Amino acid sequence: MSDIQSLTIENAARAKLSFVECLARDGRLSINLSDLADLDLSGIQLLIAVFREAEKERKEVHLTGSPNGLVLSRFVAAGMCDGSVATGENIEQAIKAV
Amino acid sequence: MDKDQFIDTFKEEALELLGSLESSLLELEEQPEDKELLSAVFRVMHTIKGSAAMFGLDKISAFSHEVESILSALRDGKLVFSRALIDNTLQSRDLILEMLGDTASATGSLPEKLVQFLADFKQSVGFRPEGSVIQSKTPDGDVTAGTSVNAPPQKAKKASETWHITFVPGRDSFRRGSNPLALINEIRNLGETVCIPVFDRVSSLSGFDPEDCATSWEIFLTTSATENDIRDLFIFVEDTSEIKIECLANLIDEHTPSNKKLGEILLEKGKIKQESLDRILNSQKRIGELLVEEKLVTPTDLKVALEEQKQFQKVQKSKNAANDMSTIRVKSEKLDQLMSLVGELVTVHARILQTSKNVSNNDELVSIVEQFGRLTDELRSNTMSIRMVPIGTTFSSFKRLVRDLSAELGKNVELETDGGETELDKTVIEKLNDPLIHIIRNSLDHGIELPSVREERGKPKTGIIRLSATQTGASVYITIEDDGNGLDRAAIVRKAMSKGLIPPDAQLSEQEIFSLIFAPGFSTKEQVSAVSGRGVGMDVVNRQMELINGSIAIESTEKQGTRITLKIPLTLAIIDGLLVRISNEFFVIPLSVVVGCLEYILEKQKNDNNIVIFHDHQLPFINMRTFFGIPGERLPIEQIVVVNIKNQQVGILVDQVVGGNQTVIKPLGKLYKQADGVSSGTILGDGSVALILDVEQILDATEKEEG
Repeated sequence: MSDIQSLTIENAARAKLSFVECLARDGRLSINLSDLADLDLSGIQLLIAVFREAEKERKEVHLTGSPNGLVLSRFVAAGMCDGSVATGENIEQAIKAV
Repeated sequence: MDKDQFIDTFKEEALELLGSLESSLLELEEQPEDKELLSAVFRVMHTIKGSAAMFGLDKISAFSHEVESILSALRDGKLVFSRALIDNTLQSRDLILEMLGDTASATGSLPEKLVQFLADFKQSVGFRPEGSVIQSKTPDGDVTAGTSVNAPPQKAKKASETWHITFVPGRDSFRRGSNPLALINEIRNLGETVCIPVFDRVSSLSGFDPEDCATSWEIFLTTSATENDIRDLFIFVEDTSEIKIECLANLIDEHTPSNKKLGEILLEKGKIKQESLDRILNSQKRIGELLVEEKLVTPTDLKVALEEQKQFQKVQKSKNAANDMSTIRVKSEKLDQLMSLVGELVTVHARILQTSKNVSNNDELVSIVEQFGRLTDELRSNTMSIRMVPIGTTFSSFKRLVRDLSAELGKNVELETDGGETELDKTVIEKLNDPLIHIIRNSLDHGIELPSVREERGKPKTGIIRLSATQTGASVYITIEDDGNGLDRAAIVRKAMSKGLIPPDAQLSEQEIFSLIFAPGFSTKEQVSAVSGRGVGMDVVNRQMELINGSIAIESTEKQGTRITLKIPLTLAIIDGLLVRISNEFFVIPLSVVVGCLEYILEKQKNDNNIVIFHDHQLPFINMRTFFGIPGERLPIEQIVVVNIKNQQVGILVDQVVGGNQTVIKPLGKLYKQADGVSSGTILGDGSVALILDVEQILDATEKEEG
């Protein structure tokens, strides 16, 4: 997913296709949050949908890296974490818990 | 008032504040994210600092100022919460307490010992003076420079009310150009928030539409802002969104208790059905886990309900704190005096009532006496309630003891308390403090095993000490129970023989063996430690219980645990009693144990096995004439008072039930200490004495006699 630099409403459709392809091809998907320049609510919803799909299809999705301040602040604003959580792994756990 | 009196008042207040500080710190240790608790701790230190300075107690003021600065840094997010912080603040509290004990020396500059303590405190928690960078903790535990993303803004400091906001943005919110996340951020700016996102409407990946807003939020906001201020934030989305704003304080009234159970909250919200709840409640697991496991509610529903429960409790706590503010200080001697006068008044009322019945049929007089009776009754209840304090405060003071001692002994021990709302006379509670400390220290040292031993025995690593209180009749039962070693009967007997307390060939019952531990100087522990082993503690328990006319019962199972029950009579109280007569003697049975009364016609009885049928059940009864050895013939028609003791019903056979009686309890003194079946006495309206029955003791003595 190196070609997707922002998970925002403008490119969420493209990101979705890329995620679907990757899951179908490899059965697993790794999203490096360090690569993300920006994120919005649409992007967060996409991440939720990807994780739910993976669980249903018994495929693997993982979040890696550490988000930048802006991306982290979006997760915080949505209520996904409290700001002290700063790794992909922690955010992955938060997404799986909802 | 001279300066000394002012200082005395300050000391009283400071002692109270330090008491609450201890419990707040221990709570904070369990809930470090609770900003209200942190503010409470901060406020105590701030108040002590200010008041001490006002009375020229410079040492206390300077010391509290330094501790306050550290707490202030924690509150502002400049320090990371740690166990060291709690440990040091607790020690600071103890040091202030020490300084309060000697206010004459509390002037001048801080001694080297305290300066060093403060330096160590600051170093251990990483405190730097003003101007240092904001720190935050990475998930690895490292402290790094940065800014707390979710730090509460200044406005939240005036937070006064908690609001529950449900915000469900319309599906087309994105298309309309609104940004729900920005709106959530604006809500956060109003105060302290807990924001729980709900993603139930997010569709599967195949049907995912990036332009579809499918998220909603359950928000708990604590703020000084008004409802209108909050509503204003939604002004541009209110037509297309679902918005519900409720003030939690308004939802709490006498019909809606704050301690709502999780199941009740989920039921109210229509998330589960009553049948499912009942079924789940009958199993042993935690309700939340089970509901999620069985897919009856989603994890998000559970999270929202748990948060609501937490917020409700928080709001109720603030409400209670606000109510507690309207109090005045009264010397306890004045209350003793008042109580004694009310006792006399009750007796005088009984005499007037009796006399008015005897002398005339004057209706007006009877009406006045009745009115006087009602007022006396009300006065009695009010005076009683002033003197009675819940035992919970004493219970919570033991949390520190258990925390510190268990750490010292290398054990994991949790203190559970129950029945903290049980009320006892203030002076009795004060006398209970020492016995309880000794019993808990013994449980910690002798009872609860080391984690490795517990594991070998298949027990959880963390031991439990459970403190509970209940009131039955004229007695309060305080139980101290642990799930530890249990008492070693053989070791007790061995030690008692070696100390010459019992002869070598003594045959003792279980209770007799257990009661040996109360002998002065008795200890089975080979090594004397700072905690126990000197054999002084349990002796103190025994003596203190004797002082308040209490009794002790011990139950113990080896390797499973020990339960010590203290029975404390309400010797200083006035109780509602049922006056009964046997021959010419009057007795009072505490009304709280009375279930009902029935007639007993001797000639109708087919045998004399002391059993009657009551509510289709066999009811054994005790003939009180025989029990007390009162001479005279039995009446053809007697009465049985049915009482409930230790969850079983028993009858008390008397000649006549006279009626209700406001009973002023008078202690019987040492001479009657061994008298079985009576707990105390009272004076009746005609000046004669009636004994108050100890129904439990009567039952025990009868059972013992019958073998």
